[in-house]
Amino acid sequence: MANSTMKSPGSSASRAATAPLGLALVVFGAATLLAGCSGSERGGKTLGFAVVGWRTSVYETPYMDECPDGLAQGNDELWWKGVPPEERAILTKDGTIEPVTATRRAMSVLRGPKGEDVCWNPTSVKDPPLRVVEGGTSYGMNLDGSTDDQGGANSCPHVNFKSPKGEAGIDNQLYRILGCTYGWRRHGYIEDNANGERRDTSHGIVLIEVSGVDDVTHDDQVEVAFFKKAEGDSLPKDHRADILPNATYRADSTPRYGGKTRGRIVDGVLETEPLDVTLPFYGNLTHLPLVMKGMRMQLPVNKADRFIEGTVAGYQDLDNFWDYVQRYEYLLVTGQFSCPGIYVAMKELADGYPDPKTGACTALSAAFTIRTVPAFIEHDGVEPSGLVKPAVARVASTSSEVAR
Amino acid sequence: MPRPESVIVLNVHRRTLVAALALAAVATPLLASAQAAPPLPPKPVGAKRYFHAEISWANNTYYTPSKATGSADFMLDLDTLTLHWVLSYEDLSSPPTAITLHAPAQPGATGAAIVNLAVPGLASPTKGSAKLTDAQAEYLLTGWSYALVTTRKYSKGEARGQLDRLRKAPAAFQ
Repeated sequence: MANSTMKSPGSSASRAATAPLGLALVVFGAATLLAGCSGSERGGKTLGFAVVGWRTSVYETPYMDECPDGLAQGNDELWWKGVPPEERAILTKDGTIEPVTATRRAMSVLRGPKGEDVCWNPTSVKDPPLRVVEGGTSYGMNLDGSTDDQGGANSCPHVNFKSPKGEAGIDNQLYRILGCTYGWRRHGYIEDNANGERRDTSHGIVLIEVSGVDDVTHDDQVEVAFFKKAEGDSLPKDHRADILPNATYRADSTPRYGGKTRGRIVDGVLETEPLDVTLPFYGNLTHLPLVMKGMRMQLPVNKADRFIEGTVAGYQDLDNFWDYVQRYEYLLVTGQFSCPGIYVAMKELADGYPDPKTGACTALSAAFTIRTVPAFIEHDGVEPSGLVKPAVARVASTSSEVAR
Repeated sequence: MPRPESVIVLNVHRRTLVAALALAAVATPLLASAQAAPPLPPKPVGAKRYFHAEISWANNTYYTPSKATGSADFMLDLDTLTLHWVLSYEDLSSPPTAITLHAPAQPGATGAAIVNLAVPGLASPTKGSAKLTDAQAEYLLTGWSYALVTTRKYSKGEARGQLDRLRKAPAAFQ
């Protein structure tokens, strides 16, 4: 078993994880031995993990066949195609002001009929429909319990995917929306850069504590808690800037973040029960709480690897997702996306948590691939509190809302 | 007989090397770079993908008051990375001097010439084929390539067409 555990947080062994590789391996082994000796108040062992990587799960084929019309058109392309050639020549100094320049980015985003910023007034223009995923395969989980396209009791009709292994009923409308947008695909700027920033700044890190573990291969009931790592604790790295395992992190005491749920371990994979939770998130210079409903996680906790990858799936709150897109406005060119296209698509494709009054769904099924390292967690006096929707200023999403 | 010093040094170095390799063998699975995207599924065999470009003076990044238009169809054989094309143009302001494929560039941006599309000559229509690199093929799939007809009057290009992906083979390749 690779996961480190501890009864008494902050041991010298965990602090030594910043030592060179050889020493780290010794410490790693010692920590593994310690694991067998420790236990929680409920009995059984406690496992700790730090989530050091977080990617939107995007299933790609070698020739991009999931996007049969090609990748989504970016904001600059849509602006450029809408301006007459004579005017374009003046605005871009005969094409010498390229898309990535600050001047052109500003021109292209203020393309509303009255110069509105189309990320803050996405209905001020009518763009061509967003190119969305048409492939039938996706990473993710069956969140609504339904394998047909009509959805379950708490979802709206939508087209299901199959998993790469053939499992039916996979719900992942976030992938359907973002999967054909360059910035979220492999080598795209948005996910690669966000992961690099999290590694380099140690911001926005989720901590996972699994307690009451009697057997890391099969256990009918364990308790799983999610915390936000305290901002003051940095992620120790080796000479390759890879994050070292078995460091000790303090849990942040902000009540907004985290939550507790139950889980079980089946064939070495931890499966959690659905949890409404707000998690910390940082990337691309943006701090943004991630609001998830019915979130669940699958994590192979019996692996002896330094990095353990798992899946987090659930429904992302629609307002929260739109807030995320708007905050990335400055990445319109490098991410090659367009706010109005995403706005319209997310309204059409939202598939979870129908509003009881309108029937319109208020959340998007989603899946994320996480990368974890074993860690020790100090949380004396800090208990995860569950879902608290962050007090984000309500964003005007239409020109009429702005007028009001 | 005492061993020469160089042999001893070599043996010490060999032991160090063996130890280092052993450590590397243990450590390698534990080390990994930053989280990467999941691996791609296997490439399908016999795959061909198709593209179309509507060529016009109005697609240039600079102003070229002209009447030039045209169109082009492309087939990319992904087994051999061979690109086949049929391109035609009309109403150029002056004789053509080059017909080229450029990348990487979105519409409204400028890329470098990567393929000479006038292999058999500059007359319209022109047909041909050329082998691409993996990166060049990816530019096509990503939508970051364009055909450009350059003329004596417009040395930076008179008419341009971005390659858009097609769902089916165009008539030229059926």
